[in-house]
Amino acid sequence: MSHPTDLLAAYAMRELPPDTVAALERHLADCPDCRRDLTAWRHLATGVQIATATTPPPPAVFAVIRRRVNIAPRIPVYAGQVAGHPLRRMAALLPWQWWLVRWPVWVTAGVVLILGTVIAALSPFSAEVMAMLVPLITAATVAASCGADTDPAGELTRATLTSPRTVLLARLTTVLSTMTVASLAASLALTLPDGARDGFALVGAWLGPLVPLCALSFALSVLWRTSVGVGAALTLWSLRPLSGTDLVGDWITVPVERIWTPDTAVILIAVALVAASCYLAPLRPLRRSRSV
Amino acid sequence: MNRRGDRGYSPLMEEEHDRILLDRVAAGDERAFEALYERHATALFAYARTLLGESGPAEEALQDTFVAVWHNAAAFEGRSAVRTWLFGICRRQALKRTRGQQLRVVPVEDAVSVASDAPEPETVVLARADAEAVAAAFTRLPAHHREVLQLAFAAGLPVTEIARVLGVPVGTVKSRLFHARATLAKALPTGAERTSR
Repeated sequence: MSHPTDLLAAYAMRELPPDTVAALERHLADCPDCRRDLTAWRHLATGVQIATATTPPPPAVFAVIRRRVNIAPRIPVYAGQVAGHPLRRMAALLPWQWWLVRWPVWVTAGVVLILGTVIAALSPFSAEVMAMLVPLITAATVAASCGADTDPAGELTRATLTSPRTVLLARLTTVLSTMTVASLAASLALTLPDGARDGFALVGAWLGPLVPLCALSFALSVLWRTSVGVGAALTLWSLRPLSGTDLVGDWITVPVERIWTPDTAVILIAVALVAASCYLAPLRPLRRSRSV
Repeated sequence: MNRRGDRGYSPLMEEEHDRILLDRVAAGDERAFEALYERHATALFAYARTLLGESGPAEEALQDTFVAVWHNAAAFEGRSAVRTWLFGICRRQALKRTRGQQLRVVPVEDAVSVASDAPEPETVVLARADAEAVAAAFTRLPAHHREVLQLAFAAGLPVTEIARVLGVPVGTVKSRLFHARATLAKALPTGAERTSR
């Protein structure tokens, strides 16, 4: 092989096919002149790269190009997948609500429910005890966990992409589900040992008043204050034993009894109250939470 | 340095990507236009600066290049690589700004011998030269020498694609490379030998 001078530039540019490279490298191993020639090309390449090294053109250049070709400036739009399928979104959202409720709320609700169940077990009027107890605990828990002034993550929730209404509904669903399951377990514990109590009647006794009482405490705590929601539930609870007696008039007895033994109309009003509260909740000013 | 293949893709994959983007640009896709700009703007800007010597006119040439790409993407016939086509447009836009003065090109017959068997004296000088000195000498070269060296060693275009950009035969590109190297070696100052670092 004579000196392959014409191949060395292409070799320095990494343009040669592999078989030519192999033959050339064998020649280079024995030829100091060609090695020097290749070194000269490589020094040249390095020098050119140093001399022409440049930063990217200024951003204004592309802005001018956009203007010249009549492309409107693009407003950045979040294009990521927010949460995917609604069911998957719900499955991700609901469990987290559990942790956003303060732990004393869960502990208090649990302790009171256990104590109430024990009292109901010892009492011959277990259905009445449960009907008085479960709606009150659940309504108070709903108010304590959904109230705008007791939400530790209220500000943060409003900054996320998920609608505050969705978060609020998820919170209510989680709290109601948890309390209902716990109350069903308590009713089962009261029914199973001797079978003397009618399980359906027991559940029906507390499930009926639970709906309107929770709706009322939810609405007042979300739109006003947690304490107002809890207070309303307590007031109705304390009026219940008095209703039908001479101590209160019919104007109190009638609505209290309708709440404790609700018909379809009362249930529908309760659902509408919850829906209206969810809609109005983000429109009211945010109260500063104590822990944020 | 924006050399081909530096992103870990083969030149064929790079070309395939460019063609897809250009097809979308032809269909009016603004995102594809922006992506094509991001892929090539830096290399084209460097090329325009090599031809024009200053950043201001190079920015204007770059603008004209991409405005032409937006309006003429559908006219791309695929006879060259997309990157070559872009460099060709950039060259025309840059030369418009030289106020009618074409780059002075030495006739081929005046160029130095391409395939001489004997080692040239400038080879010895260049092989010993410091990279910074080579870079400094490059900036003092005539524009037509800078252009061919920039396309070969900075833009990383193959000789066949450089020939398309310049509109000359492949052999002419090779002879210009040799001539540019010889001229640069002669322009190196005495004592520009590489020092140990």
